[in-house]
Amino acid sequence: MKPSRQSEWLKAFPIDIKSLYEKADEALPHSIKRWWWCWGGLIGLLFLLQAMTGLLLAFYYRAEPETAYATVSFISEHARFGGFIRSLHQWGATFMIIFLFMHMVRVFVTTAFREYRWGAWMAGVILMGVTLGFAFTGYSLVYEQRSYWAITVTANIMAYLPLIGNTAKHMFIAGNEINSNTLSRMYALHVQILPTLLILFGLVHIFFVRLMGMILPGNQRDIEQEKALTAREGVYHFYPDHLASEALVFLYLLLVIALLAISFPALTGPQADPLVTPEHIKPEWYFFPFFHLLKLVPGAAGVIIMGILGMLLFFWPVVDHYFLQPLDKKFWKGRFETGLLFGLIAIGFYLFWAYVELKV
Amino acid sequence: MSLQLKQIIIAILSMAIILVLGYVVFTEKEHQLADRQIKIKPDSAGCVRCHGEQNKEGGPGIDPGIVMQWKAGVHAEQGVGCMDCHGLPPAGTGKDILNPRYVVLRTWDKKSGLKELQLVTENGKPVERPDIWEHEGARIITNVTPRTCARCHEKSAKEFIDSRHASAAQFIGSIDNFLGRFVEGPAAANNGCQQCHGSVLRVASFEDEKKPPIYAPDTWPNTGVGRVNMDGSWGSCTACHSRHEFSAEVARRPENCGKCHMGPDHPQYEIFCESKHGIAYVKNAHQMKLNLPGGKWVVGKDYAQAPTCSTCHLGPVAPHGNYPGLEITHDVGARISWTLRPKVSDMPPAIIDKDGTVLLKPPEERRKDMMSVCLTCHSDNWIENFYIQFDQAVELYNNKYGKPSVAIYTYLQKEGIIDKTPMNEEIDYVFFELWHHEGRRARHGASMMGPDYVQWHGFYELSRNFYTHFLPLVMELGEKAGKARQVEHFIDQTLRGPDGKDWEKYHRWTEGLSKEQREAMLSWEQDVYREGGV
Repeated sequence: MKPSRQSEWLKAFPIDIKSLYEKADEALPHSIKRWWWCWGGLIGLLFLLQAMTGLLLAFYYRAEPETAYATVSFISEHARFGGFIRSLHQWGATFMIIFLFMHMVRVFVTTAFREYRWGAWMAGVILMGVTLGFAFTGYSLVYEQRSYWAITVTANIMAYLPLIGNTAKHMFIAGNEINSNTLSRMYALHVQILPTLLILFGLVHIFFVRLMGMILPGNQRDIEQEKALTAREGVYHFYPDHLASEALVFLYLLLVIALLAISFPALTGPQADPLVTPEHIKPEWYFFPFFHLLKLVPGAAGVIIMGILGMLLFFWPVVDHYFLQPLDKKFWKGRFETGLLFGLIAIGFYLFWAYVELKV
Repeated sequence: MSLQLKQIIIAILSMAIILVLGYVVFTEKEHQLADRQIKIKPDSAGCVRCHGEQNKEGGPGIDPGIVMQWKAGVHAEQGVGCMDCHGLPPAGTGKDILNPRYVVLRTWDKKSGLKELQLVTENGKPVERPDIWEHEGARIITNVTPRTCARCHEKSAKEFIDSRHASAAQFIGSIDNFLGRFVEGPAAANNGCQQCHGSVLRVASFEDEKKPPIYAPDTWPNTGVGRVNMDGSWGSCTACHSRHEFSAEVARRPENCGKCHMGPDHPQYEIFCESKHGIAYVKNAHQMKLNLPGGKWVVGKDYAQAPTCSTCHLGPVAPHGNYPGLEITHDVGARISWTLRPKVSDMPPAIIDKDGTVLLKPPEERRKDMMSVCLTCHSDNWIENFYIQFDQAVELYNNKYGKPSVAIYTYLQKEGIIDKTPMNEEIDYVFFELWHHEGRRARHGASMMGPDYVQWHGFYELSRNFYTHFLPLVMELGEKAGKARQVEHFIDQTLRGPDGKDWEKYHRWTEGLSKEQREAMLSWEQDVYREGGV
């Protein structure tokens, strides 16, 4: 039989493309068909959007106190598609944070970190820190008033770290106070160090997820239903089934982001002015919990509490394995959707409360 | 959801995203057009091409720098082309007196401060300015005047024309003018005095209207602020706004004012640099949004890092406290209470037009306006005390040095001890420098808080020259004229003042100190400078 033209063309590559499809595929439980199982992959796709728009912004951006604000203004007002690309980048960042928290809540309430999936969880917590670092350094680079005072406040918080406080602050802002080297340090973090860390720990995260496989969530009845479904329909495939769901959700989100970028373009606040302290120092909404905690417990105590909470989050699978799993069976009874819903509502209420409390 | 349905939705979403991106591309084009777009009017297109890009023979543009400067400015964006300024409005367009095509006569009554403008006519018809020439089929002028700028910037031009700046060339007969033109020589006046004060522009030769007029080299090139133009008007907007970009930013920078306001006789630029204001400006200039559009650079709203000359003397001020704020002005004297220029400082009165329009507010209101600028960054007590310090410095100069030296110098002339020819004797120079150099430096230094100019460049040199140079020279001249006792008596009477209080207050120390006085002074100094102070 004469081989098809496509097969002839594929012979030019010394790899078996078909086997790649097979390798990309993974047998998944049917429970993953639920849309919120797309949120983890969505963060990765949003990172690609951020990388692409960020590269375009870097064509014009210059990380010096004299030029940063002017180049951001130039991008927004004069560079071709600059305003749109900057807005995509800003909205993309917002949704990356939103889906990061939603993904974490989903993993948490479905107890997907159990059964020795510790590595994936811990790499995920590091990825959360890296993503928040991206967000912080990102809005520092605009060098508007909020950028300047956010760096100042964060550097002062860092100084409260026990033993290493002053050294950490100096390393962070290149001195005791913001100077001409601070901004290039933020830029290096934003475009070199943090992307490297994100890719590295992203790979570790995926490695652990693939290594340990997906958890089968729910109670005994759900597990039995899953078994029956698998017996009837076979396994659910990562490729092409789940990947199509990821693409669908991402394209939908991209459409929303593009429309938001057109309707609510990224604005630029007043230029950084060391002489004028803003009446309200207002962080981005995702930093409200940290900011609020430090308002409730100021100084070193607040920083230590934050550190302890961070460690608790990081080691949660260990804590859970040894102390909580026996209780969970009585408490959750496997109804994870309810947990998910309550988790999201609780976070929403907390953020709203912090918003009102801070009068921002 | 089946895989097929997912694929259909993906296709629909992809189409929707492409549509959205198409919308962005469409609106972006509009945005780019609305962005910095140079508008070249048809009547100026030839000028831009020939002067900027390519001449008629196909060679390079004649003077591309001019065109590049114009393109960089707001005029190019607004569609104000070459012919809008270098062309002339047709006859019969509006009032003849406002048409820069015709010559006007400006007069200035120095007593009332009022300036009059009359249209020059011949046989009942307005006279065209004598330097109009025909170029590429259009009648044009080289020397653009404030009357042209006034066609669009009416308020700014009027304020400028009514200001002292526009009258800067009207110093004929002054000692400065005599010095430059006669004592030093015409070239000194042409290259020096006139480049700031302005020349009286004149055409040297004009063969026919097809060729450009040749302006007299002792009058052109010139961007002096009070230039007398070929249409009879006074002033030059280019002095501060620099052609052909006409940037608001350049006029806001103190370096711009420093072209003229510097040197031994009026070192305002150096004083500013020495002051805290100047230090803050050097540090913060890059943050001060100096490139905001004209009239939109408001202290207390857009910036507050430092003031420049323009901020205090001309710039708009945001409302603050009980002050309603100030509008921009182009009259440099609008907020100045004292005049620190003459031999004895005074406060020029208000200038009220015949129709009752206030052209210059009374001194106390001018001061109130300046205080309103200061109060953007300083407190009431700070400003009030500053003005007390400043007034005391001016009064010290006036009463201790200014008035006595003027009286003594005038006495020498009146008694025939010296002749009335200016600047031909040593005493003329010593007296001149007393008020014109060190006397002004002391006063200007106090007005702008430049301590070294108040003290070492000011009152110190004033004292040294007054006591060890001027007075001994006057005595010597009196002796030579055989009027030693008369002169000595006059000096004594002058320095004592009408009731003797001036002597006690200012000059008594010259009698020397007794042992008790020296001890008292020593004890006072020890108290003041002892560790910890008093």
